[in-house]
Amino acid sequence: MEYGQVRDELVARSEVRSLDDLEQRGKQRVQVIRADHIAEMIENAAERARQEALANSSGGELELAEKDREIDALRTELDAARSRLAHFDALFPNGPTAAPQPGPAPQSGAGDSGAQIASVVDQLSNKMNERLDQMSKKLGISTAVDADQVNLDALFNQHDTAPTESNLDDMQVKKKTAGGIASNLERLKKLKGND
Amino acid sequence: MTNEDYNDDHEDVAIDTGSNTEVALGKGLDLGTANIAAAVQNEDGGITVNVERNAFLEIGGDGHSKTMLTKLNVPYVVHNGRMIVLGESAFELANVFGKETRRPMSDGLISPDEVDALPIMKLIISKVLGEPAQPGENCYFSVPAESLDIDNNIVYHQGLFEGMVNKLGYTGKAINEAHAVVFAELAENDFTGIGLSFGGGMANACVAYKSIPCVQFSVARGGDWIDKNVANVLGIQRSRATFIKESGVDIRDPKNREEEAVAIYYANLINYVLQNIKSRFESGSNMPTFNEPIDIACAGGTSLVGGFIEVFRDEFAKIDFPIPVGRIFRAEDALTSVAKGCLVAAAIGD
Repeated sequence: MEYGQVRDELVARSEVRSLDDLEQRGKQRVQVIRADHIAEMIENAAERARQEALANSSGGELELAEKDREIDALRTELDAARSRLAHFDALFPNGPTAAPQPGPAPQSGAGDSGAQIASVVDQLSNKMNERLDQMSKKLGISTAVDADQVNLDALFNQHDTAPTESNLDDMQVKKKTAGGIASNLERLKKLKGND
Repeated sequence: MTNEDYNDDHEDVAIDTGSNTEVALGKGLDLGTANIAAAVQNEDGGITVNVERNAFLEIGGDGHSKTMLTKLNVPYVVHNGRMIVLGESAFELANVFGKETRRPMSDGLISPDEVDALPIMKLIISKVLGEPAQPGENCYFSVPAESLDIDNNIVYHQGLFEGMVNKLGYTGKAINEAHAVVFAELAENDFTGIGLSFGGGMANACVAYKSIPCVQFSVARGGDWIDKNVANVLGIQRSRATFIKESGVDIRDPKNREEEAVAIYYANLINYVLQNIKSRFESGSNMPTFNEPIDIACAGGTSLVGGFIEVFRDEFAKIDFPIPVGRIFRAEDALTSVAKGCLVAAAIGD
């Protein structure tokens, strides 16, 4: 941020006070900071935030890439299981107790046992696919196209227009006082400033 | 002293860092199942929190009733031709007449079974929040995390209240309620540790490192669960059980059968929460590791009962917690801690 921009912003957001005014408010001393120092602080904070965001995203990307590889490995295993089953069907078209055929047999010749096994494998593969989809969703990977974020503002339209008689304007809510948050804010600002 | 009085090459800007705290814009809103609280900084450097019970009661009434209710400082609204008493007064009237209050929220979320939930909550929230100091003022409102033990989804709840708060003239943003406890109570620890919010519908947990939430989750047991079970065991109304619970019982030293029931279910609740936190730590990946002991801060209306933190420490000592823990304490003002933390987030705009 340019010094001139910082200065203009500070001037726009601040007000001029005279020495007498400050004295009347009990101020004997004030701390002064130069506008170009403020500009430098803003620049440094922005750079730190940028570096942090880069570091976090690269870490997250590595994790996602690893999970991607795991999912690919699972899919490969599933494909391998399917092809082994197809080979089994080809060898035992009449079930596992029959003699194996010398070569691949037509798919239409598969026996009952082969069909049962195929059914079991299909169930397993469906379950595995569901599991993979669940994992993918948990990792934020989905083949579904995200819809626009739902805007629920219209839910309140009828309540805005419906006439309501009440005495709420005359009622006082219970008030509690509690310790201030100045120190919390100070610490948070310091935390964000120091990386 | 003006800018022009400085003789340096650059014109410097004097910034007052005296003792008077600048009142930052922003409000914090705790949307609790049992209570709704809104926090704002005041000019004395402290904070003011408006609190109202999140309950209502339909009563029969006429013009005379309305006048009487206003004289008795009982807030009411006529909605769809029915007279409805709001807030704490609803709870008191329910106890007097032996009725149950109606609750806009259940288990930490907007109640799908309560048809009047939306308009009633909007009225209560509008009352505690007031007008924004300027249009679009930041208002951070608390939301629970998804639960470990029941199937819930907070997307609708969060979107609903974001819309509601925006309609009231604020810029609404959600923050996890246990994360808000971290903001409020763990400043001295550089916002590192565990924040626990024991609310009416849920208990929420947030493990944070330097204000960044690492893990957030909830379990679907809270003050209402205690009330329900105490009511079942004793054969009384739930609102009666709530009244007993909030009447100064010390769960370390129950004085009668009713207080004994409350103490039993409190110990069970605390143990349940701790076991789930431990299980979450032990089972999940992406869990942080801490080389130094961290503090646990407890807050929320359900933690207000006498002896809570002592029983918490006793239950904690029974389990083998997987990370080193230092101090276990309850917030100085447990009821307003979440609202205070939301205010911190709103003031800093994080």
